[in-house]
Amino acid sequence: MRGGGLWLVFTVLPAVIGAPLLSHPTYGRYGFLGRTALSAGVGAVVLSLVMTAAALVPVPWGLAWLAGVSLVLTFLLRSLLGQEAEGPRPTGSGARAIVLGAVAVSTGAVGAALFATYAGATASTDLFHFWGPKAEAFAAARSIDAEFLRAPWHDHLHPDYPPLVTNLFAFATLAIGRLPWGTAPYTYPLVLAAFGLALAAILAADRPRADAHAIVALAVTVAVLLGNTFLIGGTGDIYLIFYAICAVAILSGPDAGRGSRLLLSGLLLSGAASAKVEGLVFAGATAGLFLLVAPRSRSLRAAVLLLWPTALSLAAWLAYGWTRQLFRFYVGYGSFAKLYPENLTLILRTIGSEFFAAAWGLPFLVPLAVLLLARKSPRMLLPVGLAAILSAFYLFTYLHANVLVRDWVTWSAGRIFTPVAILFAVAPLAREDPAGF
Amino acid sequence: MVTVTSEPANPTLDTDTHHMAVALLPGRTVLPAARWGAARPDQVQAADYVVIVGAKPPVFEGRLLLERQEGTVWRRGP
Repeated sequence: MRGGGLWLVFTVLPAVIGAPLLSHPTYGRYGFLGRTALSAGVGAVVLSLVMTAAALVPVPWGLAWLAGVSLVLTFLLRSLLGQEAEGPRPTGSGARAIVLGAVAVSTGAVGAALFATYAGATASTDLFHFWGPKAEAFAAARSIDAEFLRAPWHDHLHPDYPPLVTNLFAFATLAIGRLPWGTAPYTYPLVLAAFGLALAAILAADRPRADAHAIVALAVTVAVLLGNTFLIGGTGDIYLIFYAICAVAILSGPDAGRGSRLLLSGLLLSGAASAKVEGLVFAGATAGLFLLVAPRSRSLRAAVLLLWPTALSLAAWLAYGWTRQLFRFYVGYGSFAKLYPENLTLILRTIGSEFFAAAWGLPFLVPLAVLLLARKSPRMLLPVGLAAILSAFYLFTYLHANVLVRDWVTWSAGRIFTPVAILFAVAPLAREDPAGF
Repeated sequence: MVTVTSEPANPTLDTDTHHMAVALLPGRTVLPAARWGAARPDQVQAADYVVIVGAKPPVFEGRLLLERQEGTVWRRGP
């Protein structure tokens, strides 16, 4: 792990970049740890956008100027925020014993992810086949390396894949001069810990504290059970979970309609869209469903706040692909309309056997059981609807495969469906604006 | 330019070792000995260095640079 620790530090350096925005008083209820975790997420979104724009121009990457420009941009984002009335306070803090127990469970789950990573049991082959080589090549080129992506024998690297994680890894690689392969999987427990802190801060800010921590314990445990099993160390999966679930947690709360919450959710959705391909579907569906289930917040302003960061990051990435004649859109899984519906039964059977093998279905069934027992709220349509849309998208994607179908589903289903299980886990705390619909 | 292949020849293994070599040999142009299970002898011929996973080949036109239990490394040419 020589130098690897420093590499990890640079992957979370965006916490400094995001700090000007999250230190605004309107986010005060998130507390120091929650604000720091969310700062790291927002900072990474802004940094990645600057790195992509620099590659587009093109201007060679440099650590200092990338961090400096990103910092200026987050100061500008902060200037968009004005004074806001305090949001609704959560009613009932709950039993202290429940909070302590839930925090202990969450901490233990993160510890389990850390130990599994230390034991070499979570490193993904995709780190070596995909995320790592791109980050390494980009750092060496001090830009997104079009020639590296263009090589016909590099098509397994998915040249069109969105750039946030590879940009972030390249930034840290620039800092220490190499990509530490043995350390990169530690991004999984690290981002998982940030996810737990951010989710706890978001939920406890406008929902009962004991309920919030209990749900965080459930969500983090689900992420660890599935993450450890399906090897997500060093990939973009944990970043997608961080961004997507935190955005949904904000938007499914009673405080969601405030401008500061919409702006933060929009930035987190942009992170989801820039982390993995399915993140774009998730971002669009989240914005659409939110406006559907929260009529009091339905406005052009809300739609713009939720979607402009995603539109900007997507525009920069597609502009890069167009100008380098690499891609015009996401094409890595075949033509949009070229489907093989005859494989549907095989795909469903393989997904089913994956979920019920060695009780891997439990991380889905337990949150579903909690959801069925929870007090119902129309706002639950947001996380539950997103789970349905995301599942349908994965199925649609699998239908594009005509060779090695079973292998593809076996390798990826448990991993890519993990956000679906966590959406079920956070759904019980969906609460509408107390002023009513 | 370098390629990674296997002895005895195994295009499925060669597809994966190519992907690994792209990651672990930064700065080199790594040519595929096989793509998605189909052998690419043209690419193997274009490589200056050849990493062979498995047994030492009985005949190879090139200079042996390294021999280990896991395989051998060769440089083409005289």
